[in-house]
Amino acid sequence: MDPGIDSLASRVEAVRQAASAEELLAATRALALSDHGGRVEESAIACLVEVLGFNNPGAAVAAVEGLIRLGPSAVDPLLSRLDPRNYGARAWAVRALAGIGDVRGLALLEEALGSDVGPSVRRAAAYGLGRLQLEGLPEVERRAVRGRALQSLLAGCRDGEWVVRYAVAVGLELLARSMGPDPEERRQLGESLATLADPGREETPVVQLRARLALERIAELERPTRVLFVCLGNICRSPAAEGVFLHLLAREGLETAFTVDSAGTGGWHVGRPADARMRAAAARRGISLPSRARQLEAADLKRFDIILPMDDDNLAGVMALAQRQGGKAHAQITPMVHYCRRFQSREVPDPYYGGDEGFEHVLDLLEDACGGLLATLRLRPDPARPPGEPGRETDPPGPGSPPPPPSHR
Amino acid sequence: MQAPGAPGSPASSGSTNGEPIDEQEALARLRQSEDASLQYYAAWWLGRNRSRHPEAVPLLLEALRQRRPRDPGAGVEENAVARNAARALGKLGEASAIPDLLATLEDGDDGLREAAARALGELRADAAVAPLLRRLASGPQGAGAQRSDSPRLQEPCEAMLEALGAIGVGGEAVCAVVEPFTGHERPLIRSAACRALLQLTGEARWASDLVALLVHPHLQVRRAALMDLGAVGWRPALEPICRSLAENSLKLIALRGLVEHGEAHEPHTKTTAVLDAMDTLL
Repeated sequence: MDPGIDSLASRVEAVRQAASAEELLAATRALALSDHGGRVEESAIACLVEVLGFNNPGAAVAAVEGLIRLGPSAVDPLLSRLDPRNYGARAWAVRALAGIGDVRGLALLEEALGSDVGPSVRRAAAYGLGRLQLEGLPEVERRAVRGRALQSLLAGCRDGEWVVRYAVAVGLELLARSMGPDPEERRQLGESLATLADPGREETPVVQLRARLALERIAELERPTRVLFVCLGNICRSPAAEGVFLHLLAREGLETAFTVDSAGTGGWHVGRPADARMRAAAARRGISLPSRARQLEAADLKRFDIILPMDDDNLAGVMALAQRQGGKAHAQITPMVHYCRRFQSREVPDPYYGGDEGFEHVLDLLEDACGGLLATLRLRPDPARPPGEPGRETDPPGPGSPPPPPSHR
Repeated sequence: MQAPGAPGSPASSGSTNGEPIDEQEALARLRQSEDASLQYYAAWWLGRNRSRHPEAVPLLLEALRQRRPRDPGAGVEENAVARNAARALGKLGEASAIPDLLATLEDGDDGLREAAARALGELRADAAVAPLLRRLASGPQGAGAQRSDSPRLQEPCEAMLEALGAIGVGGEAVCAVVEPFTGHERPLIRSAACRALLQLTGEARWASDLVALLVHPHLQVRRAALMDLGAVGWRPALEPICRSLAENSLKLIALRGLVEHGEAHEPHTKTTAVLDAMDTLL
């Protein structure tokens, strides 16, 4: 007898035999946390679904967690065992489906939000409509699913219960994260949240607040990524990086997706345009350098998403400023060379005291690094999350580069 | 404490077929007096739907005066109509109803006194403080003692204590009457007293009793504590509320209270933190 199946059967039995609320809770937790060894055990799934109807909220929470852990294999049993007479059980089942996020649940969630008598079912459905996992689906299907979820949530804005309208605001915020660029859909979504956020049209303060929060978070998501290049005097390397990056953005049609600037750790050249030699070298590549030098300041650590120092001294200067803020920098700080793909260089060297070939070399390095930087930033699904998270890097870190700081979000 | 689905919200009224009615229909039903069950539903409807019709309040005040002794075999008694009328007047925020509700507070029917007390609390009626204190002054052994003929107490203490908290008039005299009830043998009464004191004084010691009740072995008591902490908006209780073993629906109601009433309590717990917690309960 397979010991795995045997212990699972005994855990199922323990749930069935539970004689008190506490026993049911403990037995459900044990079953929910079982290691199924990669097998789908229908008796376990069926048992967990049954627990949802037992009017024991603690056990139901454990069962929902267990069903979410089981994932897609729990979807069909949940759909087929929905109890039309027990709205408490239905609410938990909808919660489980929402947590799994499988698109097979879409029709059920639409119907639940639109017409279930239980507000707890409707609110779980609204939340679930925002959490459908669309990865792996062809784009045509993704658009269709998103469109249906959106229409369902839009109708849900008029629900009579405050908690359902609250959940609709949350569902709309979640949906916005996976929303495509369709302007009409974005407009509808934004307008319904604006309605929910308006005290003149929404009577419940907590719903207004949640809708307002949703709008803020969506705006944060959509805002341009803010990039700051840093060197010593802000007249050679960092203005060149700025110019190269802007040039690249223009070529790719991405100007509105980024805000770009440069600054120097020192203040000797404040107000001056970039060094004439650097401007000439850049011009030979069709790149203009429009900068006026400015000094790096504390506010930059909050104002920018990513700061890229050119060499170790610049890095030290930026880190010192960050430390003086008590480590509260929003910006990720990563050396420019981290993004090089062809060149293996410890730093972008200062060309100031050298000859023309120094300026050419710097521009070569910067073109390489800016290409790598843009490639990385474009992959980010959420600009609020700094680049360089594990699994998201396209390039391995360059020599001597520090690991990215942990995400603040 | 009014749990969702408490008496007064008819899940199914015997004389309707469950079809939704409109305001005109509700007023018509309240106006007639042959069928008390229609009046009962109509009074509830007007409160639930926050009717602003000019005839609603006069008709409800009329219904508030209807009396008939309790007769268990007779279906819906007239006092039940009066009770729903009191509840509705509280929900409508109708300050002109205060004198009638104060009179109702002296009625012999304790269920009616309960409904009147809650309505006066919702209306924030300062004038109710003195009569409420008078009725509670005999303490847990007097007003809080069990009746001989039912499991209910001599006075509807829970409703009256909550009303005092809601009205918000504090001071030594009020606290002196409320405090003894924090030692009542029934946890729901203790919960109501702590809630009122927390609302009136903002002193954290009253919150610790409520937070302790969030892990009481009885679900009914945990629910009451959730509702009480929500009514006060006690933000320091955010974590214990989330962990409490109770229905998510009640936790959501409690957390709504923390958002809407709770800015003053522990300004460090930001509204966003409570909203994030609410999201996880949907």
